[in-house]
Amino acid sequence: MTFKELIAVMFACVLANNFVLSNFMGIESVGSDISKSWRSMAFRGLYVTLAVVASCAITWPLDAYVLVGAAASLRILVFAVVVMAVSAAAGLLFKKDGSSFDLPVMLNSAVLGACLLNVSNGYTFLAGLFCALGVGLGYMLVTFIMAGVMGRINMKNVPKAWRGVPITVAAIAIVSMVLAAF
Amino acid sequence: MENNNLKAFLSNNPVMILFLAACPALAATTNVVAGLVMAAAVFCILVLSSLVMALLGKVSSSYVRLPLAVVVTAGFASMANMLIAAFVPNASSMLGVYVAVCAMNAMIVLKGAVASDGGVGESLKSAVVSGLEFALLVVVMAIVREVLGLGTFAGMKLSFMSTLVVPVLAKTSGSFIVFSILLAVSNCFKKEAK
Amino acid sequence: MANNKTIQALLLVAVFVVMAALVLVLNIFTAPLIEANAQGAELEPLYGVMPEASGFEKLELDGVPETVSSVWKENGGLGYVVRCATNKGFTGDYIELTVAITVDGKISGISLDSYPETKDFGQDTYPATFMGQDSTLAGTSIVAGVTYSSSAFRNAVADAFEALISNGLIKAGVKEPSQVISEMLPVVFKTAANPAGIAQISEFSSAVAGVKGAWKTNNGIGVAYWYENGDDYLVIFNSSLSYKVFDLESNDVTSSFDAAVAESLSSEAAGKMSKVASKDKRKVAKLVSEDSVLEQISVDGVFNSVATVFRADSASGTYYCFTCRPYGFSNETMVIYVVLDSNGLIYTFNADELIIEAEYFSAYTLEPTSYKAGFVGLGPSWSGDEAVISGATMTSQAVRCAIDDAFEAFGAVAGGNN
Repeated sequence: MTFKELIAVMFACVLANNFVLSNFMGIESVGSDISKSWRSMAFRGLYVTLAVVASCAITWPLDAYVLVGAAASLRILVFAVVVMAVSAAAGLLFKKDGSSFDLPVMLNSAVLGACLLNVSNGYTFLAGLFCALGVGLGYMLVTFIMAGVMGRINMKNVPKAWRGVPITVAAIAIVSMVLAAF
Repeated sequence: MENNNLKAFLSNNPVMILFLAACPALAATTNVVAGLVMAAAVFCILVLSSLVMALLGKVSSSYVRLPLAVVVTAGFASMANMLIAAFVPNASSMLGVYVAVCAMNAMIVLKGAVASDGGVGESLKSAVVSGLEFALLVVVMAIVREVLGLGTFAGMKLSFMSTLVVPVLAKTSGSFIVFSILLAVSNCFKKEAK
Repeated sequence: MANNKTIQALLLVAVFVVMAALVLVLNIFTAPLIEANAQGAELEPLYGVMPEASGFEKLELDGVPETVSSVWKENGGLGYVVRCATNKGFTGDYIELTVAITVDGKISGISLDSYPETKDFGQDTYPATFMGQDSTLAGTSIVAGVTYSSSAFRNAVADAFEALISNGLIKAGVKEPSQVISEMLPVVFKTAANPAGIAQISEFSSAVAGVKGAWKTNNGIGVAYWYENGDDYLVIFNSSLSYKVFDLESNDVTSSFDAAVAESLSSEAAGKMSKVASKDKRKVAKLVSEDSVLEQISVDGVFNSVATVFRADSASGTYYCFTCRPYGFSNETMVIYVVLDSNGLIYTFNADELIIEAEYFSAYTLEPTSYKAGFVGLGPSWSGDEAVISGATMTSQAVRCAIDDAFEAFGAVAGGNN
């Protein structure tokens, strides 16, 4: 694939096939505890991007060269272990910066989803990495948007039944309609 | 990653539990059959992994429980994926990669991690209850989205729906809309139960 | 002991191994089922066109046209199923189809699997016209107004036959002379064909004996006849009444053709040509210097979009003015003027109307003055890029065609001693 095509794949993962809003992966981490601090949002996004790129970098060759034949059935197990290890390691890296992440962020299904989709879509190694980068950037984009949106919602004005999670999901619904235009 | 924090995390916000399993709920509900299969899959994976984690509860220490839960869940998710691909191929093509992604599903993994605390019976009961709640949520979502969004039921066209169809419900934004409404509804029930 | 880190790590590994083992064991049971499901999904469209089949075997063939995706043989000897995908339609996205062909070489089933085109060629009706056809596809035609999509479909079906015939699996059908003639026409007679190779002709009835079909080209500068006197011939005339004769194998048999017959065809053809000479002369006179003397010369042996040729002698030199009438957007005839100097390089370029129906069409970029000036000085080895008008592909193709035809005609004219 040419460089242009790789960038196109990346942008596709950011906008048109945004993992959070179109593929529904990583919703949990976006929806829970959206902090209003830009710094922590940025770190969260960076963490996820790092985790997904590193995971894809490791899982793609694993799938191509190690998990052949019957062992291909072990793909999900092995990928999950790799993703877990990478997320934990990346989490340690960020701990030094003083930010710790909620569990839903660390158990981000977007990371595993990206790794699995790279393989099932038949992407080359480079295309997979660029897609992963796009996933991370898309995740960051959504987090920032949601932080902005939720910051404007005063929970006291929200009906009791809708407070917390439901209103967040409704807000995500509206944001997803915007991105669906792509 | 103290278990107390986990427990508090899960119980303070009851709707959160359902939200943590948002991914499969949103993705698998454009068709009633797919929704049923996904609900069954999530239920089985949840119950089995909670069971296994509860059995391992005595031997595992607190900081290995999360990785352990991931491994166990991933194993059962793989098995569920294979069984669906073998026996329900129509559903398998509709569900795609989402059953596999259940391996890292926050709800299942966290419930597994917490399960090792309590006894087998208690964890099993908690898993079954959550699983059924989630299954109900998914099936209702699937019915609403398919009947109102596409005008079909499990793939069969419903003639009386042809003019009443609301296409957005079948799309991604529609899934969020329905999900948020159902979450709010279940919030009502939980508040009443309290 | 539960807190011992090594024990915990071992526990983790042990659980991993146990889960992995369980997965692998389950895989042994489910893998064959999954494989069977996948195969069933692949075979489904094949049964769709040949429901009575007992099973299929995929064939690996050589020399298969690129539109053919797969060829399958039916196990009970009923015939073959070919799956094709062509992107030669209007949009460039893939039109997919599956066709069942019996061992006699006739179509017994056909289905349109994917149709991404903007205009409907009759998705429910057009494929049905191919039922029962043999490899000549004699009973089928192209849908008017949706020519690109329907010819892409038709060519894909022809390719499906080609794949089977070239591998000796079925025999080719025998084409009727009428079909051979109509297929040969746009190939040998460029005047009649648009840039996509589709004939732009209208039929008239000929008074000459032995003529089975007579057509004039839509741009008014060519006439073609299907003449039969025991053997079948295609006779083509250009605007200078120069002619060529072809037999059914596309051989040039002009020299052996009966001159008297040619004479009677020629005088009838003359009456069918559009009288464009004086109009063209007026137009090209404006393109050369005022003192030029214009003399019309005939174009022998040139059968393309060139309608008239004038030699312009002036004090500044000799120029050759070619008026071309290629088919542009919506197959409308465009009038394009190409003036070459005595070395065969472009001196000036002009056109009557570059963008047809300009009041309805605006999705193009064109700066007329610089566009026309961009052709000056080009020779026969030009790349063709100067003709491109962004957003107006068919017009660009027509302009390119016109200029190439002018160069070709110059070669014929300048070579002689006109």
